[in-house]
Amino acid sequence: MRDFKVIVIIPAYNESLCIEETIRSLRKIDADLLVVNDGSTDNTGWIARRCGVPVIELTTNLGVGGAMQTGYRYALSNGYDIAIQFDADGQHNADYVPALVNRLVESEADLVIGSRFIRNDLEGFKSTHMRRLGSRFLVGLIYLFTGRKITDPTSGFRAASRRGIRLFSEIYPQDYPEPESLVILHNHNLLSCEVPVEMFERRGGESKIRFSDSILYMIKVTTSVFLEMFRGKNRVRL
Amino acid sequence: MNEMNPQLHGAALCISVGFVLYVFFMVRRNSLQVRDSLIWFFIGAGFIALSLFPMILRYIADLMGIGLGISALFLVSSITALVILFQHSISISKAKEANRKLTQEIALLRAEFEKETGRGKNESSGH
Repeated sequence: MRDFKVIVIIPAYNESLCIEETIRSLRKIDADLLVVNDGSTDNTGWIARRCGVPVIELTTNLGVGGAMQTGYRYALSNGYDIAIQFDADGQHNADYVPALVNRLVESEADLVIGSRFIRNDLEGFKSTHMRRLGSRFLVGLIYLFTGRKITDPTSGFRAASRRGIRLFSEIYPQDYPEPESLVILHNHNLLSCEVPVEMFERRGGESKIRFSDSILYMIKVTTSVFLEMFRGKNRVRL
Repeated sequence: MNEMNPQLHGAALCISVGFVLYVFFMVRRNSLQVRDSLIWFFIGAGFIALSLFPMILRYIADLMGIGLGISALFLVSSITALVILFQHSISISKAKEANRKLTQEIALLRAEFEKETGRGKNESSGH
């Protein structure tokens, strides 16, 4: 893992309850950390700084897409080879970071996604029934457009290669970016693959998607995935 | 039906002229950019023309093959409103995009600056 410069990017919006725990869980990982404070109104940024982690402060709340893209841009200009997206809310398990990195290094893929659904023998939080149904719909949609079966398209636990970082620095969807970014990747002839991970139920903060919004979420994601298909290929030279 | 009573006539004219003046003052106060004001001046001019010569409406309705002048007015004004709304959506999207780039750029520059100078933002504050 040391031959590569690895950065773990943690986009955080009002995560003062979990950010410290999340940072602590990542200490054992042989990688640099970066918190992108997405215009939090609490002291998320201050806590992260106190933990000695570099913090990028966004002056206004851009949403997870805009925050994550800032992280990718930082990774690009600071010469990182691998950038990992890691949620601040305690959902992701730091123990699986090496698995993502190893797969990225060993495979042809430019994005490795940590999937909850690839292996059913793993324990861990799998999300609710409704969400899984929606997730399955997205799996079909992504398969239809890219011809690739991604079992967990909404997973925000992912590792991007240098090329992936360069692409996402240029183009990254702003709201609910995970499924759409897979199509963007496909449109630029980059491959994605998955490794099985376990996730925790989120400990603090609020879920980004409330149940009542999930139908709207599906419509939005479907539309954005659909439109991305017609935006054309290779808009960014990699 | 085209005979508007004189009071209504006068009121329509006053409101129309008032509207154009209002737009004018907004531009003068820099609350509205010149390029964004043009459409409203045109619309104001249309209002004034309609209140001075209501028969224009009759003429337009006949051209469109619509029986009632007022129906033609509703049709034209709702289409105009939709077009303007759509253009506003586009402007907002563009402004959002510009805002995103600015926010990211500032944040990255600040991070770089802090790294160079070794100074962190509000190191002692926090609650």
